[in-house]
Amino acid sequence: MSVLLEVAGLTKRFPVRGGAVHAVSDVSFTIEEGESLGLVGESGSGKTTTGRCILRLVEPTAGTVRFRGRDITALGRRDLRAARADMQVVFQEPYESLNPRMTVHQIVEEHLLLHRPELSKADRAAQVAELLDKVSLRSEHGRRRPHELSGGQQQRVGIARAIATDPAFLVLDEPTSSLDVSVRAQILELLLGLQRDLGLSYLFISHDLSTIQYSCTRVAVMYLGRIVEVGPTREVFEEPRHPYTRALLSALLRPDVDQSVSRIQLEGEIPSAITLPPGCAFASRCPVAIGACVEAVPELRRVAGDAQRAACLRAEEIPALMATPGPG
Amino acid sequence: MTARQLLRTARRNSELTAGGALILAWVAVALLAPVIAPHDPASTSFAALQAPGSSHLFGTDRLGHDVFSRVLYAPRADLYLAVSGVLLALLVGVLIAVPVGFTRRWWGDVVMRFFDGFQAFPVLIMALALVQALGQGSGTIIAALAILNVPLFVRVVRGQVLSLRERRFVEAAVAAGNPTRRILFRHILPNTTFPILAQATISIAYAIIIVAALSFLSVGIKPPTAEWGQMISDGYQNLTTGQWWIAIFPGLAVVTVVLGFHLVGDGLQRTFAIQRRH
Repeated sequence: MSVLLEVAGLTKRFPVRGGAVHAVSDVSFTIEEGESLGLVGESGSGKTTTGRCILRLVEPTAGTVRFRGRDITALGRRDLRAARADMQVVFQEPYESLNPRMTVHQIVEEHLLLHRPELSKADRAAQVAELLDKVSLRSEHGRRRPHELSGGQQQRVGIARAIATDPAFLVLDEPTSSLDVSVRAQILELLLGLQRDLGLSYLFISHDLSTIQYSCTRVAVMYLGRIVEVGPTREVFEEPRHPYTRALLSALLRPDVDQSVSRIQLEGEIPSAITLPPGCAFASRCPVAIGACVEAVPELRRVAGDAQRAACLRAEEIPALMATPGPG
Repeated sequence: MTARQLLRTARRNSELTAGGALILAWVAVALLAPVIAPHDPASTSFAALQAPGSSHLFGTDRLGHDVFSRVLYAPRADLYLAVSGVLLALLVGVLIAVPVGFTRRWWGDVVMRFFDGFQAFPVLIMALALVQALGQGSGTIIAALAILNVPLFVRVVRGQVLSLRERRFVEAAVAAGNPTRRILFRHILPNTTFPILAQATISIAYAIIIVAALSFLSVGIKPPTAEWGQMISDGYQNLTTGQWWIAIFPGLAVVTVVLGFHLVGDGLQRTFAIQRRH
């Protein structure tokens, strides 16, 4: 497999009175062709801003985003517009993300109109019908407006338009979190099916660990704008090497009620994103922090296996130091 | 919005229905004036100052005009001028406000401060000054009405654009690869129609009063063209001598048509408010 997307040193600061909010700090990762990378973290951890920076829906303060080797952050307006055909997004709130004045047909057709100018009106109509079929909508849904559809149907429209121009990469920004539980699984299945059929790569942003576990081959955990742990989903979930990941996983509800799970209760204050501490941002809440933790930001380094990396000075000792989140 | 939606809205909204009926009635009168008016509005061949009666429904004025015929012909001037002036203002206002509201750069604020300064002048004084500067005539009145109303449309539309540009569907339009121009006019503008329509109807109501006021002050439409303000101006001195009909009937005409536009404006605003809650 080859690398499709390469994010390096991505940083976004939002200026505010008396300083700046450090939304994303020095985030680096890669996504390979056909792969899903899960991006998890609590709200405010910078995962959504990371997704937006990659698509340049907000301009990153620093860092590069290479898509098939080409630096997206250096593109001019015209080139960027053209590049958008290959990298699309599915938003969290399907209703909010659809123009209330446009019909479903117009919404999906617009992407073809913008990126496939050679198509005739009839060709576009045929493609829109095909796209609606791909997301299990009927062609008569094309005449409806967003408010006439259910939440699940609205998200199907959001997905249909995202794949209209045959992109290689999608940012999925919490695509299922605002939906009813009953339709979440359907939308998730649809996304995974499309990935298989179309060979898509996903950056799957979610605060829902079970969704990530189910749908992603690799996962990155964010805390206050930084990636604190990244690796193959199975390894990270089985043996987390960062205390924050461990705390996050211990909060996950498990279906088996007999398993005794010791929850890790975090105490202490979350630092302000405006005045970040000089050391590890998690140190103020970390149950195993030591003196060195507050001195410098720990580097994301390989700790186990081939690909599991964590930004913790004590990563090697973590399994022994903290209660295992899994059975036992 | 389709015609069917409009009808459905009208049924639920009595202000909109009543106002719309008043406006439609006056538009019909204006169009059909040559058919329904009993006399030539410019003819002065009748005995002056006759009281309303069977030969002259609204009586005659000092010069021997048939007041009824003139009241029916007047909307051809008043409505035409008011609607043209306001539509011109709407067009210019929208073209200015949409980019001004969308940009996050400094020049957006500069444009707004300019219009703030503009609006500091009292409306009628401004209208008088403009007519003085541009010279009397219908073109001048339309231009004056447009200039007076542009700041209002700029303000209303900019406010809408400011809130719309933060909406997720606009971000989705950026992500789709839309050029800015298309985002402005395909995604943002269609979502501002209700407030624009509401502002337009209220502006037309005020514009009718301004047209009449300019004529009352003898700087508007020149006689013998039938025009309500002119007729009121001609007739108000006779109010004290008992010939009330010369000024009262055109006055009532102005009241009903202005009321019609205000009702529609309020009705639209209410419909918009309800729609926003959903």
